[in-house]
Amino acid sequence: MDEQVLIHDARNGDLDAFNRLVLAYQDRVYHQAYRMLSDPAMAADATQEAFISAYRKLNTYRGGSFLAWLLRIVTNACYDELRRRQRRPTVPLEPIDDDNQEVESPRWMVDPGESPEEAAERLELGRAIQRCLSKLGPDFRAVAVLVDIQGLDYQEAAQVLGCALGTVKSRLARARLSIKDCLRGFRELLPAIFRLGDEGVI
Amino acid sequence: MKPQLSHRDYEQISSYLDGGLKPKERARVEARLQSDDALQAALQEMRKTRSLLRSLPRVRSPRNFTLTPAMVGKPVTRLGLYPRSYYTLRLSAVLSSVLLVCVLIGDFLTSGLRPAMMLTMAPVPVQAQLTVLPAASQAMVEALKEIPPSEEGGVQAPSAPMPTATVAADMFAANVQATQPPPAPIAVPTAMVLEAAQPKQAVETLPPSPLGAEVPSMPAFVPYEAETTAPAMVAAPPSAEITVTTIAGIPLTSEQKPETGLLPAKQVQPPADRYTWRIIEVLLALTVLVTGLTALTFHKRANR
Repeated sequence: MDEQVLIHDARNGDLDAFNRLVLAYQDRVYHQAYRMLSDPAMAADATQEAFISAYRKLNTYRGGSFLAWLLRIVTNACYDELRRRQRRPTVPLEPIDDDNQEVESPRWMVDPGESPEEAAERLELGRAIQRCLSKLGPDFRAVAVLVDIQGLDYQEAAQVLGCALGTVKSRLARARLSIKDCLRGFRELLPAIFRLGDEGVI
Repeated sequence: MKPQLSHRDYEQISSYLDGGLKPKERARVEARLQSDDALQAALQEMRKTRSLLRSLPRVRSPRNFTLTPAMVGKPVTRLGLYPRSYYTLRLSAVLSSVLLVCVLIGDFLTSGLRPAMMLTMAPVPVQAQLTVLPAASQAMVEALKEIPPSEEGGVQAPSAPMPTATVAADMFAANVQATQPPPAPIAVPTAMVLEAAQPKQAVETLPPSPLGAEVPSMPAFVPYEAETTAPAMVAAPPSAEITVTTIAGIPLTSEQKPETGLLPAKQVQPPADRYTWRIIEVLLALTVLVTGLTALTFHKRANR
């Protein structure tokens, strides 16, 4: 069914219509939360909270990309969660550690077509990148996730973050630089083709 | 030794990678890339970094995040379920109610003021009539007698007129005390005038004792009688005829027809304003009912 029709029905209190939108967008929304928070349980909470908030604030949606509108809500929910973490310093800032197997379940990492070695490499790579992401400040992390991981363009990212286009460009450049520097520390984990500083062809 | 690149340089190559530069800027960056190895290297590294980030697998949500009615609770239904017209209807119902109350108060106040106006103005017409009446021929009085008294409901009930008049007078007297503090002093002259005016043609028909008993309450009685028979709004100058009519209207007996006979013809003329009030009141009340009930229906449906 047409997305706008579902949104209209949901605005009129049709919860089923809204749930169809939830099913259509939950992966993208959860992905944003997961990359922002680096913790599956917290990401799930933030996602649920974001959808509840979205339903309540549905009358503030003024057209445009519904995905961008949802990503804005979930990103703000993640900011709130990150602030809560900062107020509780006993909670580790980086839930991922080298021994933690359940941080990133291999279930969604495994490509059926790749060998176990490739899968393991991918998993390692994913962990390394996630760790570097989590070292960024929330504003830089958000823009890197939105543009480089979610694939939004600058304009959409600016809409999600509620900032100017120039701010998006500037933050993205800084985020990429930081991640590049961070990934140097994981050089041995990266596939040869991705080794930064080498003359690999991308 | 590589020359140090500025943040501006990194920002430019980052945007260049994404095609986010304007044509002029892009041309400038491309020209620099031809000659600047450091910039070229930075571009390659940033491209790799971007590819690494893009290589991250898309994470699927571990469960469905569909909402249940319990999750969204009542505030959500309030937001979503009301049609927009509900708020308009609710507002118009409230505004109409306020307006209706204002109109009713205005109507009541102007009705309450009327006896005072009549009383203060009454002596003049009565005096005028006093001069006219003696001169009026007996034929005129006879002609007046011929006017059917049926137009006056009160005239048709000769039996027990006094209690009705007294009750009505008492009711209004109480009312007038609330709105018009001193009715009695004003009432007296009118009554006196009436007594003086009537003897010439009505002495034999109007028994002095009942009229005398009614005199103090006569002016107070006027507005209610006027309302029931032929309402005169506000500023219609109350003439002696009206006063007499209303006096005679309810309590007087059929022998007093000469005086009352004047009244129906006079009373028919003023009620236009009063009808306007009534129409406005009825329309407002209907608006309140319709909008209020419709809004209530929406409300019940939304909270089902």
